[in-house]
Amino acid sequence: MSRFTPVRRQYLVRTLVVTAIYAAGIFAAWYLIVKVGVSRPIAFGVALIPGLAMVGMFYNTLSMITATQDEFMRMLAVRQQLIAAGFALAVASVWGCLEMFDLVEHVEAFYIVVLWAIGLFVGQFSNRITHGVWGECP
Amino acid sequence: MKNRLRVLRAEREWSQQQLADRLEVSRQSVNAIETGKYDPSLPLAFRIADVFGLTIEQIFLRD
Repeated sequence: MSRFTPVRRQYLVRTLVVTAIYAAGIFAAWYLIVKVGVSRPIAFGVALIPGLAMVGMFYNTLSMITATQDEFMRMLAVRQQLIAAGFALAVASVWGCLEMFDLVEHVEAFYIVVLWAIGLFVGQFSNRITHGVWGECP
Repeated sequence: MKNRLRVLRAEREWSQQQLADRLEVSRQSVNAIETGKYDPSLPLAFRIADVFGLTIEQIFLRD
């Protein structure tokens, strides 16, 4: 069975598409809001684009998991996602409490996506230790 | 859960990849089942039993 299955191919294509939308959205928002100074409703709409691209990324990931036929690899992917979500929520919760009492600097909420991405690596590492496989989906 | 997958595969001189291809799963899945790191679902256990022409009880053993 090839590791580069249609499911994985579709996941990679969708990842490239949402990443391009995210990058274009960030650039468009910066240009239109910071440089041009568009009205608030337009600024709101433009600034939503990168955020919605990230929603697309989450949907893409979950869609890939449900489409994965290999149950062992699917289990590893779910495990990785749970660890990533737990890691992101844990760090964000602790940071939020510290921030509430002005003990740490304010961090924008969208950085939780960065924590989630770091958590994905933690999840892969955990899969490698416990199951001997990094956990990439076929 | 213990299993006789490695022995049965060796008797047929199949590699892990060849068994994986017959089961339509990844080689990593076969390895994880053989080494006891993963217990397959009932549908996959039936597929494994079918591939070897045995019953589930003849392949998978209670701890």
